[in-house]
Amino acid sequence: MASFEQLYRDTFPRVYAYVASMLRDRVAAEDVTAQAYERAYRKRFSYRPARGSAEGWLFGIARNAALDELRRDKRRASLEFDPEDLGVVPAEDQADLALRRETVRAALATLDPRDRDMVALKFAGGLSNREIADVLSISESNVGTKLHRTIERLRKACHENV
Amino acid sequence: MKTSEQIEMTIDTALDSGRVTASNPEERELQELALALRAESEAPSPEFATRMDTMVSEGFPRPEKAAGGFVPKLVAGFDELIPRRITPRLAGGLAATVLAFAVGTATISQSLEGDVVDTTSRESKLTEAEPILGGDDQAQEALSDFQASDSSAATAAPEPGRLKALGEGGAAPRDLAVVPPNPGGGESLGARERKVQRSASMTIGAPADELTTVGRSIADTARRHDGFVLSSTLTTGEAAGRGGYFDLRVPVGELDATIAELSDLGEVRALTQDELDVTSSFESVEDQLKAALAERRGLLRRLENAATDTEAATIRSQLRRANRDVDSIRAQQRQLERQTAFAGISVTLEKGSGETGSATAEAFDDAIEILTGALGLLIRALAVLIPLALVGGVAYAAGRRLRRRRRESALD
Repeated sequence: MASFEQLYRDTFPRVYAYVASMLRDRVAAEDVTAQAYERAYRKRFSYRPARGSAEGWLFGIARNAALDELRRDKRRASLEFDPEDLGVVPAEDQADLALRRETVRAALATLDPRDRDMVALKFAGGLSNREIADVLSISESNVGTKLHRTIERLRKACHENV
Repeated sequence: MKTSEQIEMTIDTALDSGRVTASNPEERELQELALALRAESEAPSPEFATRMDTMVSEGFPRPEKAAGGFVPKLVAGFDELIPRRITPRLAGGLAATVLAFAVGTATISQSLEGDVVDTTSRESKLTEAEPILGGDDQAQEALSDFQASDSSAATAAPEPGRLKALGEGGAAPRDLAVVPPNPGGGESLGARERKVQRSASMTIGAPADELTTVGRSIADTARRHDGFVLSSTLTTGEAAGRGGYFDLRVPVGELDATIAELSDLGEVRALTQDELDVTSSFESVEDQLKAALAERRGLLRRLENAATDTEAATIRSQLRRANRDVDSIRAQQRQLERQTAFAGISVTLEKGSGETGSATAEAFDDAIEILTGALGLLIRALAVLIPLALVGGVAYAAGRRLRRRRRESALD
């Protein structure tokens, strides 16, 4: 690990986005993100590059923290749309963009929580398939296959919603 | 139908560039979907980002309890260095440390035990006895006396407190303080002259190819000090029990010098010296002799005054019996005097690593012995630790799996 501060700068918005997509609660997401970075900071000497990238290691910690939070609060990892939790859509957004976002959220809501987790790691976390494989402790090819199927389902769901 | 790699590449291109780049409608749709999913990602608020920046730059300071004083800070510092979970590498390191400690302790313990091995109990099986008996006339004369008295002397138990044992154990006792010499076998104790029998037994180690030479040197040493070899056996060749046993007799005054010379013949593995006070036996024999002589004198007087032939014949008969008694008691007295005049030395000659002047070879043998012992202990320790490590490894893996499952149950 080059430096913890550098890792933080490279990943902070993505880790937050991933945790927020898991918890769907801004306050909880902030708490868990802070907790994840603190855990990573305290355990930074136990990181071994041979086991994978530093980002994969950090997202693994963030994922565990988020799952612990979900269990603690008996929250379900549902991606139910909650307009209050999401950023305000700028007024100048076009109508078709708003419609597309609505469609995507609805399609995401149809996914299995584990698939949503994977989609969050890919699109919110910006991880490669290799890094997702490290976080989920499955093979890279398995990640590719699962992502392929999930995206296909999302596409179908989007078509149906449209 | 596209492969998962192609889909991944199409998506990654859109995510990296932040726009739809594909011309193929199907790929464009995928890229649009990827960008829409990316757009769904929530951004942290500026306040939270600022708070996080501060925490990271300050190194996540702990709450009050760790910031209190030097000790809590020290504990916190150590706490950061110590990994929360026992990683396999850490577990391996711990196991290796425990193993090394166990083997080291056991090796040192074995080494210490080896230093106090009681070599006096060593037995050598003799297969081919080679007599080296010899000596001058004086010695042969003494020999006959000793052979006659050997059994009684051997069975005589030493008086409590009179036994002096020196050099018991494996340490070479060459420089050990020996019991003060007692020339003549007697010692003055107040007005009385003490009569003491002295004997010694020693075990000498010599190289296998020098056993014969050392055996002859033992006999020569006895003779040089006006002594003789009462009995001896020496086994050479390739037999397992190579070695010898020598029963020597030397004048009491020569005992210490003889022991010192014998000690130079090889590695002294054990040396024991005994003393047996036989003053009371001496006095008893003297008293018996005085009584017998007095009786004889009385009989002679009665013979002179005998009135009849019958009375004279009876007295003569009693006189003959009294003479036999006097002779017998004097013989006992001479025997006791010879026993105190000569000391017995039992020498056990053993084949072994005790090559004189070969400290390197000795050290090498010791090293091999220690390594062999350590290897044995290592194997024993591994026999215990490997199953424990396997069970521990399985338990650790099962624990991790269980913890992961429990955690991921939040997604169900």
